[in-house]
Amino acid sequence: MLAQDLISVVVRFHDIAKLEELEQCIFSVCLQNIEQLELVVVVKNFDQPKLAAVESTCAQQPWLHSPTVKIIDCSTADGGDTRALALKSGIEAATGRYLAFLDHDDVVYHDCYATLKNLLHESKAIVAFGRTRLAVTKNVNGNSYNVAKKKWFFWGDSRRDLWKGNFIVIHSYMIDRDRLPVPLAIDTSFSRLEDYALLLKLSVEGEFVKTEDIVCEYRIPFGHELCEEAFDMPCQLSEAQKLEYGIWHLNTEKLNSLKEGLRVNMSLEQFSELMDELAQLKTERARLYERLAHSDEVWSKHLEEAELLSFRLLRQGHAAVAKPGILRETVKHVRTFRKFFKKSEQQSEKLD
Amino acid sequence: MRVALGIVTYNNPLAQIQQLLNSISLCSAVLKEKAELVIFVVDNGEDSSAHFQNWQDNYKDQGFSIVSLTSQGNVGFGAGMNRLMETAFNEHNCSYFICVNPDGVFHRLAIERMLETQAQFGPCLVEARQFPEEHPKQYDPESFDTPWTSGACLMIPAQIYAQIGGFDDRFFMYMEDVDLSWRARCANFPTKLCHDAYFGHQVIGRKPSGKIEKMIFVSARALAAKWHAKAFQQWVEEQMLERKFFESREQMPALINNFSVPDNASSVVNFEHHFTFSQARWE
Repeated sequence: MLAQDLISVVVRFHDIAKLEELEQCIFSVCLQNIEQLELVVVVKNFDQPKLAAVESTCAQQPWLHSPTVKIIDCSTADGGDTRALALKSGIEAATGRYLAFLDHDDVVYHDCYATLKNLLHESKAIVAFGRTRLAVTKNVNGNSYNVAKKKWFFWGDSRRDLWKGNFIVIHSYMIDRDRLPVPLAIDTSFSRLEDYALLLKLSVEGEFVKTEDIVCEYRIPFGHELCEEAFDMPCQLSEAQKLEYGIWHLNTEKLNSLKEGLRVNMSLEQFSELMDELAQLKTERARLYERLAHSDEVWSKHLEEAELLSFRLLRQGHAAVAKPGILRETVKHVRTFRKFFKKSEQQSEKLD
Repeated sequence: MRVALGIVTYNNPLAQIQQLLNSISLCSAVLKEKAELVIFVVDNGEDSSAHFQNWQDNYKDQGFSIVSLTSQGNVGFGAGMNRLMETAFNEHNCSYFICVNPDGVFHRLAIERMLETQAQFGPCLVEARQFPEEHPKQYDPESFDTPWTSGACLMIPAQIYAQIGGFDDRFFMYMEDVDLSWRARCANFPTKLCHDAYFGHQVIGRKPSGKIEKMIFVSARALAAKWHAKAFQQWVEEQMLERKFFESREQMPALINNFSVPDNASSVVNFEHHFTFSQARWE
């Protein structure tokens, strides 16, 4: 049973040398002033003094409402990468209906959690997300210096966009676990992109709702490959970063297989409605053809596309399971067609 | 050593003040014997003396004391701070005065780190780094020099106050911190940003009301006039007319015109970047 008003924030922290970053991360959570908050900090192979340091960092914040703090040690015998395992352990320990994630080197802006929780309340979505600011930080004599910032990852809106690439960074969204049809499952075989894999899985379970408000900051080091894309700054990858991208690409292949295998849950009733709508549109088109001397290429293209895509859906053999990308496109084409249809019909009435 | 924290409130929610006091309590625990914290508070809004009394009682064992001054109404930010500063420096023998916005929250190490910056570079004006979104104006990541210091959380040493005074209280609100910083720099006191002294302060997502926007423009015009920046003043006035804050230039407030601009001001004053008064690192 999940605590209904509780927001659980899972924070991943693996290197005690970066305690200063954790300080900022937790301070940003403290500034949210959430009345019912559970902080789940997942650490990696920490001994007692390190655990005590993390505990002290969490406790010594100017909380207006003291949160419940859980520190989970996520140990592995070989000391290998545990980011996916950390997510899994954090989720298992979290008891709140609302779930958010935050890595130790990132921060959330004021009102992030209140905004996302409100969005979930006002909708039937399973995930609420906001926009992200990208910050480039440079290490100067051991001090972190922000060189540049800008709104980034703002291009995506839909499930289809998410299919193309991840635009929802891990700390920019909140999950309503009560609305999930299945429990959250983390694939621990991912050593990178585990957050994207989770989002893709979530995207087929229900709708997402978004705000254009900037809710968080995603920090990247100077020289990161995004520097070039986002800021036109030189991309100077260190050897460690090159190795990192090698691992990243290996995980990308894994992610592509995941995409292939995912299906959108859709009831037979919903599917039948969609097919009925298409059939009705076909009739309407035929009727309009008779009334108009010409066919409008734009709107007829949309209906044809929708027909083609629905045919591909049917070919999958079972109506209740459909590919999310195709489904989304079908619905989009149907809607666009309807819009153009109405316009054309009005024109035809004027002609009459 | 005694460090004053000056807070001018204006109908702030009690929870906001409570969190600020919680944060000061944590700072005090970190400082221990290094510094004694004294809060000086005055209300520019509705009478809060009952709340001030409550805070004095509730926080008496938290390592700091609270001195509240009788409200003189809404006299403006700078004038309110000046009263607190005068009391802190002249009557309570404080070594430093920190202007603190009531809607901010200290990180527990913030005051200690600001004091360390004073020890390293002082006497200087030291601002805390606003968090999580900092001010985009420039600062040197090695010397921590910054063109001006924000009054949201600003440490002023007694020596600087004695030499150049406090805020120019003819600025009702906004830009008085830019003016103080320029006066300090003209008097050869550095202005520094303490990069690891975090002061939680909401900047992103706040949409300024028309009233606040007008105040910002009025102060910018006053600053321009005071520092003899005619082109900037003209630009501000055009903006104010365009935004319909005033119907004509004649309706605009009287200007500060008795300030003698120091000879070295040209190397300090910067009106080239609109209200950032410095090249901005980002928009």
